[in-house]
Amino acid sequence: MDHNFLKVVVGVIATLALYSVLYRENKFYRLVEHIYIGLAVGFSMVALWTETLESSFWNVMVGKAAVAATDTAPAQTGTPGFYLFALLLPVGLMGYFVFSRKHNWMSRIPIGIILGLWGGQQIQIWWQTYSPQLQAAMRPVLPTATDSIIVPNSIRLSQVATTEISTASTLPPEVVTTLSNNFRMNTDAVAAFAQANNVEIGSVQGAMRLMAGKVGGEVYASQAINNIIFLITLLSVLTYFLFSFEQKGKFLLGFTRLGRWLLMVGFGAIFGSTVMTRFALLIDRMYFVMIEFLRDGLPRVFQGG
Amino acid sequence: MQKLLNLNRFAMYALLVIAVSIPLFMPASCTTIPTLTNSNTQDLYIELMAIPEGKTVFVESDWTVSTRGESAGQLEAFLKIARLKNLKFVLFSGADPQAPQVAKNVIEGLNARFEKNGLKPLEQWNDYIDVGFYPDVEAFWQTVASNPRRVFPGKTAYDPVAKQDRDVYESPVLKDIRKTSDIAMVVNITASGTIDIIVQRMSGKGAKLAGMVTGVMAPEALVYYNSRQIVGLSGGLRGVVEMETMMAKGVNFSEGGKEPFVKAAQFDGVIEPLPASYQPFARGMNYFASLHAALFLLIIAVVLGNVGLFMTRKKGGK
Repeated sequence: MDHNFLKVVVGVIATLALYSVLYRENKFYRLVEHIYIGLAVGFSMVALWTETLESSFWNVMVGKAAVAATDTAPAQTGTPGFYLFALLLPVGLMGYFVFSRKHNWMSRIPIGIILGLWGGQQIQIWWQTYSPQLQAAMRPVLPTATDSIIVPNSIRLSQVATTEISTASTLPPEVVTTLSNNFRMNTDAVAAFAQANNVEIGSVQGAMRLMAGKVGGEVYASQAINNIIFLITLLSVLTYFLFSFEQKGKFLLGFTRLGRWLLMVGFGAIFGSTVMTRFALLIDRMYFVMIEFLRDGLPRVFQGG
Repeated sequence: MQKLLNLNRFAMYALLVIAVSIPLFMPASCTTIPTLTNSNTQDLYIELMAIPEGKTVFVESDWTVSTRGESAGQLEAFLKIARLKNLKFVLFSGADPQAPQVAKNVIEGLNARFEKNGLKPLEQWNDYIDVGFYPDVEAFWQTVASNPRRVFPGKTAYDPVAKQDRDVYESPVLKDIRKTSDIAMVVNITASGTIDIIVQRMSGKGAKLAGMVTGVMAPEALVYYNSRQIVGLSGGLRGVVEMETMMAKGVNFSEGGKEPFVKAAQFDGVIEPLPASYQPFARGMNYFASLHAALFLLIIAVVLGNVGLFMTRKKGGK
């Protein structure tokens, strides 16, 4: 039995033990659960030293000696020790005085430093998180284009716009007009169009981009409806969370009820997504047990592979 | 009817295990489900494919084996693009000490498949640097945002040419990173809320941000996509399948005069499917038929339970 297969066997036993709790509480489950917790804590402590404290704290504090060049390796410059880092250690250790009745005031010093640093960052954090969301919530609700309900594949160009696109894309104005009847084409269609009109593919794509930009500047009815639904959802849900005054009146009560229903719809969608995740995790475990262990692993052991 | 409300729990679990296991044994040709792609996943794929060759991406991998069903597929999708585009990446975790090792296991497994298909494996030092676990991820990103040259002090990695450990800033991955705008993209592959911290600390610093999150985190992260705080988002197993679909079918790419399978109206270019040597590593699609079987079983169970409840109430029972 090779080393890799042994790992898979241990994994399968742990998987089955942890799933056994679904049937009923049992000692096999408890045993593996405790082994897992012990392993996780041990692993975390070692990782904390080897991956973080040693390189980011200890090595920086004590510095590094220079290494001379060898036949295979270049010389490495040394770095001086940064012993001021040593002052951080007692500050950190003060945190443990929280367990002492007499000296627990000392633990407030590192906590205060952390809180101060954290608090100072909050204004920037709040702004970085919510200002783009507030900006994205400002959506136009009145349509500006009346030639189509949905975002069209064609565009009616004025003489000025035709000349503008023709100059920018180097396509003749009559080709621009033809293209404006269907400017959302797949790659094969673009190639065929360019060949039929004896123009460059790149010029056609450039003109298509400019036309898409012109359509993008308009608000079509379908987009306006979407934005109205968004706005109603936003306002009704916000209204639901107004607790600082008594909500009276048929309209306000109806609006907050709508907000509650829309929240429920949102929670339903989130729950659906969560259920899918849980199933995906089960499927992966079954893949591990059925495919990696039963189908691929076991036969190799019996065949001596 | 009372029986419908008291179905044997063990039998239900057994049925679920059987239902999800059978598709796993079936050949890929039987379990491939054509899947439409959403604009958030399309944008992620388009943005990743638009990164110039040789640029460096920061990958925060915040998941362990418990969410392998979704997150491993996300990481594999990124790694395939990184191999194809020769992207370099820094790998680390801010959520779990086990996460870097789990990610390295995925790289190891994928490298074996790369080599089998005649592709160059991803090499530590030249292609990526694993800088390990950072317990205070807020401080980590705050430091990156102010000066990315000061975030990995004392970190070394093995240089296979010099045959010794060297400062990670001397590696091909990090030598050109002087300011945040030198980072081509920050990708967070996560099963927790760490994407919030990246958005809070790295917004407006010149590096594009993107998320590859589990289905549980997807609704929350979608807010960041809708407000354009992140450039793209792949959510859950469905997101993995969408990424694999775009790798197999391309974007706005039509063959033989047919309509493109993946149409991205927001993108005016064309992305061709990945070369045959990158196919068919499709972890997401392997699981997708099983997911459908499980969801079908769930719907049946919900319907039976409701019918049972309705009939019982009708008869006057409680």
